[in-house]
Amino acid sequence: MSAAGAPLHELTATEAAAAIREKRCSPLELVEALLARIDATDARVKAWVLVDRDGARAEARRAADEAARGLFRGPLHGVPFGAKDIFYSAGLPTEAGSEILKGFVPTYDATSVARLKAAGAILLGKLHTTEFATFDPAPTRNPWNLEHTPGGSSSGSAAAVAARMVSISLGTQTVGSVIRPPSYCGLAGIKPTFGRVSVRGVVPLTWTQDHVGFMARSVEDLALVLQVVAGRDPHDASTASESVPDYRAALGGKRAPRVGLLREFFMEKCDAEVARVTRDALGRLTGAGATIEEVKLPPSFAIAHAAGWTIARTETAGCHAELYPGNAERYRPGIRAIIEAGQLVPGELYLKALRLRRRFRSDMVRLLERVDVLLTPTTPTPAPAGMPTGDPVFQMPWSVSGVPTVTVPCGLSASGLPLGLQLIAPPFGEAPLLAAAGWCEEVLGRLPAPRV
Amino acid sequence: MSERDTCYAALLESLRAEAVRKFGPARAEALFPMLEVTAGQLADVALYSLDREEGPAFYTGPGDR
Repeated sequence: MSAAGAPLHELTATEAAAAIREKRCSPLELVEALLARIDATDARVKAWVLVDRDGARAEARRAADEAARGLFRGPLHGVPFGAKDIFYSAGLPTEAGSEILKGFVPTYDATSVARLKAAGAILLGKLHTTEFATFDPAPTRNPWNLEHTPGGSSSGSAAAVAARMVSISLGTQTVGSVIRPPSYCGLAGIKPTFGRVSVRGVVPLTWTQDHVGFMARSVEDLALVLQVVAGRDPHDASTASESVPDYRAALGGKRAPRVGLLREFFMEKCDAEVARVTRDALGRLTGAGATIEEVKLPPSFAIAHAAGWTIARTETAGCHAELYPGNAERYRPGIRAIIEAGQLVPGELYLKALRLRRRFRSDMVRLLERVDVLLTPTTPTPAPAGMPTGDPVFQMPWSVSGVPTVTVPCGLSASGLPLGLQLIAPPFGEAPLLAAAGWCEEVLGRLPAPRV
Repeated sequence: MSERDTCYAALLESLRAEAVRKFGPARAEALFPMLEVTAGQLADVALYSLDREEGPAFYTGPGDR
C-alpha cells in the first residue's frame, strides 16, 4: 500500500513518481507490487511475453539507492513500464509475436525505450503483440471480459495497463493499434504526430505510417511519457526537428475546448450502443462548457482508407522483402496475405496513394484550423468477442495523414465493456490535444478498475 | 459497367495473373479474397483526380502544414 492507502499497483505513473520522490514508497516496493499483481492476474489476461523479474529488481534497487541519496534521473525515476514486443530491448528477446524472430535479442534499446530508461523508468518486460503488429491475434484477453479481445496489435500493452500490472506501456500504430486497444480496455492512449517520436529500434511494418504511442490510465501520464520520448532522434531521419513544448504545463489550462464533431461516416458507422454512449458523453461535455459544432469532412476523406491500405500493404511487403523469401510458410495467414498482396501493387498506384495522402492531410489541416480538436467515437463497436482484434476503420484516416490523436474513456456499453472518444488535432498539436483530452477526462471521469 | 467497376475488374485480373505467376495457382486462389480487397482500394486510388503538381512528399517541415 502507498502511504495514501491505495495499493501500489493502482498508482498512475505520475502518482508513483511523486510517491518515490517523496519517499512514500521505494522503487523496489513498487516493482514487487507489480510483480505480485502480474502473478495474480496474468495467467488469465496473458498480457506479457516476458517479465524481466531479475532485471527490473536490479534496476529498482539501483533507483532506490539513488533516491536515498537524493539523486533522481528524471521525471519517471523508479517507475516501471512495459513495451510491446516489437520494441528493441538490449539483452532481452524481441520477437514481434512471430516464430520467424524467435530468439532474436537486440544489442540496443529502441530510442523510446532508451529515453524512458534515461528518465529513470524501469523496463518490467515485453508485452504481447499480434504477429508483426498486424492482425493475427495475440493470446491476450480483455481484462473487462476475458471472452473479448483487448484489440490489437498492441494487445498486451493495453491489457497490462488496464489490469493494473503496470501503469504505462509503449505501443505502435500503423492503422489503429495504439488507439483502439486502450479504448477497448478503458484507458487513455495517444498516437503522436508522425515524426514526433522516433521509431528507431521498432520492428518496422511500414516506413511512412508506423507511429510510436503509449497507453496509460490518465491523460496526465500520457503527457508525462510524451515529454520524455518526443523530439528529434539523430538516428531516425523520419523524426521532425520541431521543438518539444511543455506538455504537462499544457494540461493546466482547463479551458473548455472548441470541438468539431465528425458525425458523417463515424456516427453513421457505429452501432446503436456506441452512438448512445457517445451522445451522452457529448451532452456532458456541452453541459460543462465545451462548444461542439458539427463539421463536414473534405471530399478527399473518401480515399483516405484506400490510400492508407495501399501504402501500408506495399510498405509491409517492402519491410519484409528480406525475411519473406524462405520464410513464407512460417508467417501466420493474415500477415502473409498482406505481404503477398503488397508485392503485387503497381508502383504508380503506390505513388498515387502517397500523393493522395498529402492531399488528404492538407485538407484535414485546413479543417482543424477551425476548432481545437475534432471528435469521433473511438471505435464503431465495443471490443468484439473471440479472437479477432476489432475494426480500425476509425483510426486509419489519422494514421495515413499522420495527425495526432488521443482516446479517452467515455463510458461503458450495456454489456459492461469500455467505450472511448477519439480526439484529433493538427500536426504537432499534441499540447492542445492533451489539454482538450485532460478537460474531457475531468468531465467524463476515469473508469474504475476491471475485476480480473 | 461503371468506370469504377471496369477499373476494378481490370486490376483484379491483373493482380490474380501476377499472383499465379509469382506464387503459383494454389496460393493465388488462397489469396483471392485479399486480392479482391486490394483491387477495390487500388481502383479508388487510381480513379481519384489529382492535380499533376501534387507530389508525394510527406511532412517536411513547419511550412508544410
